[in-house]
Amino acid sequence: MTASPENGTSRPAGASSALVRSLRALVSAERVLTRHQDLIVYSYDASFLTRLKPGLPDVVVQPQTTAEVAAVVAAAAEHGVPVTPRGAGTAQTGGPVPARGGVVLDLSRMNRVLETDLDNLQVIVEPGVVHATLNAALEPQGFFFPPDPGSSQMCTIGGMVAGNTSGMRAVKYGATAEYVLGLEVVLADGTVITTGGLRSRALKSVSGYDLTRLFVGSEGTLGVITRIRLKVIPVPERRGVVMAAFCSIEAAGETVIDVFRARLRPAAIEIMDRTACRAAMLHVPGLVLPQGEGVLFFQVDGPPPAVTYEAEKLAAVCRRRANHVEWAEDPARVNALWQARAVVGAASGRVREEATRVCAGEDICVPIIQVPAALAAIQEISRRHGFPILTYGHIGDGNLHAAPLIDMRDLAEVDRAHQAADEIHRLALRINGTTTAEHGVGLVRAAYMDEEHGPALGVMRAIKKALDPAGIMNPGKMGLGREGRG
Amino acid sequence: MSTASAGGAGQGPSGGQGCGQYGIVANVFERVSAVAGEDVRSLLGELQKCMRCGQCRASCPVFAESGRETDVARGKLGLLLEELGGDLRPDRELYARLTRCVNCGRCRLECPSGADTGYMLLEGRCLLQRRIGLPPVKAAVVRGLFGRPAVLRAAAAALGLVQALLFRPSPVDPRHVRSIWRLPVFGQRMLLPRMRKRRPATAPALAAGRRQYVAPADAPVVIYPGCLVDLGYPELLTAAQEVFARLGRRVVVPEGLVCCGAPAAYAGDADTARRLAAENLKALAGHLDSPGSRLAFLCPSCAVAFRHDYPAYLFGRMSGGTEALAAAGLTMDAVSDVAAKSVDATALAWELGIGEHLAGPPISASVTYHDPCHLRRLLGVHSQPREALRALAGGGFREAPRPDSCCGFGGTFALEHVAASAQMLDRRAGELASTGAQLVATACPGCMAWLANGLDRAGGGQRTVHLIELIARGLGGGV
Ligand SMILES: Cc1cc2nc3c(=O)[nH]c(=O)nc-3n(C[C@H](O)[C@H](O)[C@H](O)COP(=O)(O)OP(=O)(O)OC[C@H]3O[C@@H](n4cnc5c(N)ncnc54)[C@H](O)[C@@H]3O)c2cc1C
Ligand code: SF4
Ligand code: SF4
Repeated sequence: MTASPENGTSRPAGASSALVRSLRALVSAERVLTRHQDLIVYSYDASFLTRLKPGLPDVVVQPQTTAEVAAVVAAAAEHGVPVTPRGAGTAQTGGPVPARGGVVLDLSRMNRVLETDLDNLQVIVEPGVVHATLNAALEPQGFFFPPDPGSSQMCTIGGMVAGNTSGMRAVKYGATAEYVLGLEVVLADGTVITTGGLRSRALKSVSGYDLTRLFVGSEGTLGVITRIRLKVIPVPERRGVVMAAFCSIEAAGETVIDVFRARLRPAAIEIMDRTACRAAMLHVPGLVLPQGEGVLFFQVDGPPPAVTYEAEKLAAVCRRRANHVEWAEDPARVNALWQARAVVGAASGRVREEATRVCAGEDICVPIIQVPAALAAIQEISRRHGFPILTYGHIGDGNLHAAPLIDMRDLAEVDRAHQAADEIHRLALRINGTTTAEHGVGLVRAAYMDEEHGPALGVMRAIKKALDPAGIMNPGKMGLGREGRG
Repeated sequence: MSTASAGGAGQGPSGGQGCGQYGIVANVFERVSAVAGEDVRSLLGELQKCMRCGQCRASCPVFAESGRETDVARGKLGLLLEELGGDLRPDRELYARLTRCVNCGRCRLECPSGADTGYMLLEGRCLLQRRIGLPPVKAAVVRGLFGRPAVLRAAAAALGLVQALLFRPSPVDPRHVRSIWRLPVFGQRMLLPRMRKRRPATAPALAAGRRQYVAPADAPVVIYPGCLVDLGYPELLTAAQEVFARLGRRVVVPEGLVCCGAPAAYAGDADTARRLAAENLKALAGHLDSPGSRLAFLCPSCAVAFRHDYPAYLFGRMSGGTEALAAAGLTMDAVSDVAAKSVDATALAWELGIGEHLAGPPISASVTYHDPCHLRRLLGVHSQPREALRALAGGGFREAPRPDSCCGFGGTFALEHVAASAQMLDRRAGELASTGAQLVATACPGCMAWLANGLDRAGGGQRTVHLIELIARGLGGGV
């Protein structure tokens, strides 16, 4: 692979053209992409790192069946060429970007809902089904798949399983893992296995090692997920939102603790700092959020009387420290408020002209009682480096999304953003947190794996070696290679 | 190709040398803006706003059909960045990818980062076009035809002759003619609006002189017909004249109006687009002086050009915009004033209260409605047409699935990317046909012509109509 402009010529050349030839025999030619211009758009995801340093694949395949995936992986294995699975490429980690070229498997065209078995509380989907599309199909029938990432409109279920994605409702409903009943996986040699039982429709099973859990969150390093049996649950009858604004971040943090002490369990507890609120208001015309250093959003759901009861009680708890409390059950207002929170990640860039939000140091998780301290420390990092960092996140589980706003045309600022990200990651580790709550490791957090896991990383490497001895599945990620970086 | 065991070939994001934990070296933004001129610098400033979140995968109608990452804004902007960085040779292939776009504005409106994808796509095509020129067919169309009003008229007349020889009237809709041969790629006979010799001077009812103007005579409704109406559907102009006359407005169709320039602007030929824009603005001079005057459009794409693209892009942030404005002897105030007065004709009719003039359902047919992308998305008009149709359709109004999806026309997109366009068309026509409605109403001559093809291919015998015609018919006999 070379970096020189090879526009117009088909890649790759030489020895690897044998692989491309066999790929074309396995998968219809228009779904085997080798034009340089087709490959470029697979060389990044939403991570800061790959915006700066793209990683070009040699060939992209868009399979439509498990058999095609298996055949492609087997062919790649035969040629000793890396395979990087990709869903919608919304990761912020570099995970779906090939670190060492090779084949990118774009699974977003395997997007059928294969079965809707609501009586048994489950659906079977292909990995490319978009999260919002699945829920849009399920909700009229009274069911839903609860995890709700901000990327719901575009991310794939396969990507969510591979990253054990979660979202705002994780406080009550947990992450994707809790809903994955079984998987079909193409292993690194092209073998197809089914986890959770071949014919199983069981909602619970402790038969054998929990291979399903092993593949959930494996970020494409152990195999390609080609089919997913997902548990779905009834949609709560009503949703309500409580919003409270505070004069200090500390007061907001204390309130979250008060809420749990009051034996309340909202579906979501979110925090947005002052700048994050401003970003949301810039993005959604007509949206008015109260003034405060920190704003908390609670979502409550359930039967209508329970929602009213819980929301009122929540509001009462908030009033102890808040300077403004509001609650809404009106679906339009509820939606407007949640929309504000859902888009803030990408809307952050709006608060600084001539700048962009970069995804770096964006996913730490700290103990709940440390949230105010972490927010203060992030502000200090922001001041020291001289660019805004707005922060929002799932405070209900201590997960904070920090968003540095920098001008990428300014090399010094780019460099300082990396330092800031590193400082944020180290901050999390120092206060008994983790570098990533839901976005994953990929390339960008590989360097912290040793520090976070110690000898356990050795066990992960052993598992990786057992399942993928040639190291062709998404190499370079998660610090699984011996050199530490992947 | 590197093999797995080769490890860190230096190309991947994990390789490389330099400072810092990730070994970051100079990035494309910094590298290019250090040497680039102001134009490229400001384009880079906007390009960096794309944080590559992928949200546009959820909105792009071209991508919805193709599943190709190069079709979404994120992909096109990625290619553009690479070109600016010098890692991509500017060539026809790149041009073709950047124009796989119906310029519907969805990605811009839905981009959470507020990245102005419209500006970037237009400016990007422009920069590329300056380096490699337009593909010959496209140059002939946007420059040679739409860029030259006299040639366009002559060509339309010639097309009329060709149509007489090689086309036959469509059995379902006599204002369309159908080619006697199947087109390659398109795979079907092609339906075109029958070319007319000249537009009727005035609507018959107007000529009869039975109107009383209720609005101040100096607050006219000025109508911009647009090329397709002018040449293929002149009866729409007549209908609009009747509608506004019924509302007591003085109706003016100025002489000297030319193509709005959108085909040229979308193609990356800003010079031609600006020349046409300036000519239009000159032709309009004096007609829109009073505050109550309005400029009404029968084609929402023309409306978007006047309302948004002239001030925001062509004479706005696109490179050379300010200079072109001065060279044409125009001011931003003048451009913005015309922009502010530009509205969709059907929406204006509704706003002026045409609803009260509708004399019961004038048609017995059932009707469905197709939202033109530019009307619904960029001009925000979607409820009024439905209200109007509920009042007008004796056989009932039937909503089609996926209301706001694209018909695949996109102007020269249909010409340049026939297969992709036809795929989008077939899906949309199928959805509209599935309603079982007898008429497919829309409010754009481009959608009308293209959907007529789709419906013809679907074979359900449905016709397309422009909402303004139905409204005019709904005015009943009494004047
Ligand atoms: C605006 C925005 C908001 C976000 N909000 C959230 C949030 O609230 N919570 C959250 O957890 N994340 C969030 N994310 C991160 C990201 O969207 C999620 O991790 C998402 O699940 C990734 O899905 P994808 O289809 O884009 O996968 P990709 O980004 O394409 O891939 C992600 C990883 O999964 C692997 N992979 C993908 N498909 C498969 C497969 N079929 N088999 C094996 N491996 C596979 C890839 O190799 C890669 O390592 C957000 C991202 C953005 C841009
Ligand atoms: S939605 Fe906007 S920021 Fe996101 S990828 Fe598309 S253009 Fe970029
Ligand atoms: S303008 Fe429309 S067609 Fe063009 S890239 Fe954006 S969403 Fe796609």
